[in-house]
Amino acid sequence: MRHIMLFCLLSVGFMTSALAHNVVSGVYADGLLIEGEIGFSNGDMAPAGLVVEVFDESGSALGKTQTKAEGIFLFEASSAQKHVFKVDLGAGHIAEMVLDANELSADAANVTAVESISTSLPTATQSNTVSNDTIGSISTEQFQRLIRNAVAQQVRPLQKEIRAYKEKVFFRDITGGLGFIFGLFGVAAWMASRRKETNP
Amino acid sequence: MHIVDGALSDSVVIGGAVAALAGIAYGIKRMDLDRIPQMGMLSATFFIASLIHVPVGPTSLHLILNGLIGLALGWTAFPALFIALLLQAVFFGYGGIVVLGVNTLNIALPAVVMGLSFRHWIQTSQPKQAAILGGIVGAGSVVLTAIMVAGSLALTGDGFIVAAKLSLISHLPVMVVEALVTAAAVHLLVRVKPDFFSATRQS
Repeated sequence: MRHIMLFCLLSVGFMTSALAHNVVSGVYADGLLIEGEIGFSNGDMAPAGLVVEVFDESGSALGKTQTKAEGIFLFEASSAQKHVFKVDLGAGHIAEMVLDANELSADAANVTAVESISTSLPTATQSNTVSNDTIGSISTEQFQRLIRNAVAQQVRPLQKEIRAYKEKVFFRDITGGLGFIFGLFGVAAWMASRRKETNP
Repeated sequence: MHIVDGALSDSVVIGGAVAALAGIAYGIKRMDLDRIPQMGMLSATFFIASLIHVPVGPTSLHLILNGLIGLALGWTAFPALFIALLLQAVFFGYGGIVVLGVNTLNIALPAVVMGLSFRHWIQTSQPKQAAILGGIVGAGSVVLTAIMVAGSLALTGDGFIVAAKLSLISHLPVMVVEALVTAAAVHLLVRVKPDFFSATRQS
């Protein structure tokens, strides 16, 4: 039993160290411009100058780009299709990010949807970079882009936080589950030992 | 391997639940005080093993380890696996509460069948032969589980042959890995901890 205990302890130990150095990455689209971010779950960002390879759905290469400071990279998509990003961070860390076609919008898409938003939310635009008197003169397309920029900017830190949170919760659930299992079998052992005492 | 809620018809779900309940009850009856820590440990091992997904080609696979669990626990594999599956369903949404009975049956019954039929043989074998037998138990349990998964789906309405083919093919990589892992584990345990498989005061 001692061997098994040791094995279990060791394997749990390895698991935590593997989780602690997970690669955290994400991609966000802004029109046809794709911005990605790579880092580690402990908060460090990927170094600048890493090569990011871009593939389409079938696995053929679409191009390459490099990370800049803070683990951020940019890629200009040529069409709204599925993009797969692969980065080798060395030491066995590989990040793979997938951006679905519907997240990439060629500029003409969804114009009607944005138009309805722009009419129903006139006050929100005032706080944006557009001032009130020029709003009538810009095209829907520009307007759409501004909204997308603003939303992407606001949402980005949230996405980052959610990813970090998910990882934390997953690990906590594992430990919680293990606690439950050991607890339940502890109760079973206790009951069995009482049964043995009363009628040996 | 985990069937999700809503995929099966009511009669299959109920039938699975009744059969699993019988297995669990019988397992609890055979539970021996000295074996409870081992049950807990293997239940925890199963709980963790199913969570570690290793990407292989287009899909990802995870170990099931029901062969090893069956060898060690025999009938008590039923309650041990049931608890691990219950917690997986509650914490991670693997499978579901309603189909818990079917999932328990699909994973525990192959474990019991393979475990009990090979246990004695492995105990009396040399480590090398025991490792080969362990590999057979590991792969065999996965195959039986795959067939039972296909069977549960077939009883709901899918054609059995189609379902079985799909299920077997998707379990194929798991089968290979499972055979290797179980063989390695048995090889080690037969030498360092032979009474891991011996049923002291039970079947």
